[in-house]
Amino acid sequence: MELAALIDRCRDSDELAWEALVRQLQRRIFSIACGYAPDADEARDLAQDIFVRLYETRRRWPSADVFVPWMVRVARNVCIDELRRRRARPPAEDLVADEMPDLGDTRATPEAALDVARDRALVWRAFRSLGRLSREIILLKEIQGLTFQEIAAMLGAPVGTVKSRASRARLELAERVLALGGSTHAAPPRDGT
Amino acid sequence: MTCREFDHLLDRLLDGSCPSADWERAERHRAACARCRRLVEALGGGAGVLDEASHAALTAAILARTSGTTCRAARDRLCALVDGELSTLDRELVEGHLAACEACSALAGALKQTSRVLPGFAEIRPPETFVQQVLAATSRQMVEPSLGERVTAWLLGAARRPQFSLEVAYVCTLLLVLLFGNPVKAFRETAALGTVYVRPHAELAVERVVVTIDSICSRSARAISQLTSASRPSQSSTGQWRAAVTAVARWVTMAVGETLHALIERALQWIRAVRDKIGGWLGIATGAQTPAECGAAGSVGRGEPSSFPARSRE
Repeated sequence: MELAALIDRCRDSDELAWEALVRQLQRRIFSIACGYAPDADEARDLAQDIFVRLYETRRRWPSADVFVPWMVRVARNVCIDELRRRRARPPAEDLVADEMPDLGDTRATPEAALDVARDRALVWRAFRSLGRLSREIILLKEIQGLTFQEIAAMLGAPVGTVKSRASRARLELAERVLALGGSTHAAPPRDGT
Repeated sequence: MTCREFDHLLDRLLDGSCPSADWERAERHRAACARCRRLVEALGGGAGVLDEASHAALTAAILARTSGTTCRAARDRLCALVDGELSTLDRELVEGHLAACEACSALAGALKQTSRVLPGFAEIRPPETFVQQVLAATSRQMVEPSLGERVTAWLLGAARRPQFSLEVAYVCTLLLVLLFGNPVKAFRETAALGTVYVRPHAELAVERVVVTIDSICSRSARAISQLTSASRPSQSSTGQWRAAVTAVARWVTMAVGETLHALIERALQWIRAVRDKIGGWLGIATGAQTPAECGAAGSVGRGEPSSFPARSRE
């Protein structure tokens, strides 16, 4: 269903359009909440709060071409505000998620699915063990796919700072993957071998 | 001698400027170390070609003596390599380093792995009942909130941010200064007004309290006296008891009244002294005293003589 049409209908308080939008965006919103929340229950509550905030501001939604970055910004603000308000323990440096998010993998063969699941579990565990700032930049850039300009506007930082921060965060994540269990794929072949 | 020390002596060994003691040590090491022996042969144009390990060792030795390890420079470009953003030359340089460095090669592999896996986390399936819970929560929001409710909700949300609270406090302080003027002048005027308006009321209140306590004590003493005189002839113990009660009552009256009076007097003098001191620091004449007199008359306890009528002690 086209996002622009759903947005227009939701602005007019069309309940069915709102339900369709919720179904379309629930995975993405839940993913963002998982990036900030310390556990799955907290993530579910945060995701609900995000949708409630979106619903309350539906008359002021931007156009479809900038809706997703705007939505991610709203989601981030809700997560930070709610976690601060609840005085929830902020995602600590050594906090690792106990639960692997359900990504609904549909690989053809069980062996391939197992490899992919192992990969994802390893990377997710390393991601959750990052510090708050590194995890946020990875969440916004590598996972949600925002541009550096959008992230810089959201964080109130120069684009150059965001780029260098993102590079450091990616290298830190790669080092943690190696520390947790190493890459599950062979290193790139050397030239001549 | 270690291979590292041998590397340091290599130049002087080759050009023959090495001291004899060092040369002997180097020769003994070269005889025992195949790696250093091949190194000397390769640099001296000797027979044989360096194998892969010797090439790597030679490179490492040269780098150790020149620029140092290049892993940091390679890691700075790894993200760009994985993203395909490097120029052809930079890509070849980085890949050349990765071919010789296992640690950086492993890191590059992990980086590619994370870049491949992370986008898959953009959408995560929530619990089954999530949509129903969201719709239930938002259906309670069907009534459009009023303007007041929206403003209240916005203010509550903004107040949770510490920066907003600080900015509001700053703006309110500015508004107070603009509306009510110089705070020092306001303080001086307030202190003067307090002296003019509050003191008579305070004195009146103290006097009323003292009079009330005195009246209660007097009536109590009369009642006790009537009781004791009506019951039986005054005896020495009863008379002593009555006298003691009367004395205690009078003492309480005097103590409470005089204490209250003294406290109020000291408070007023302290306020006056602080006002004069601040006025003296700021070079502002307070009216009651000149700045020169502020230091002399600044201590608490001294000041105008009390105008409260002293209670006579009986």
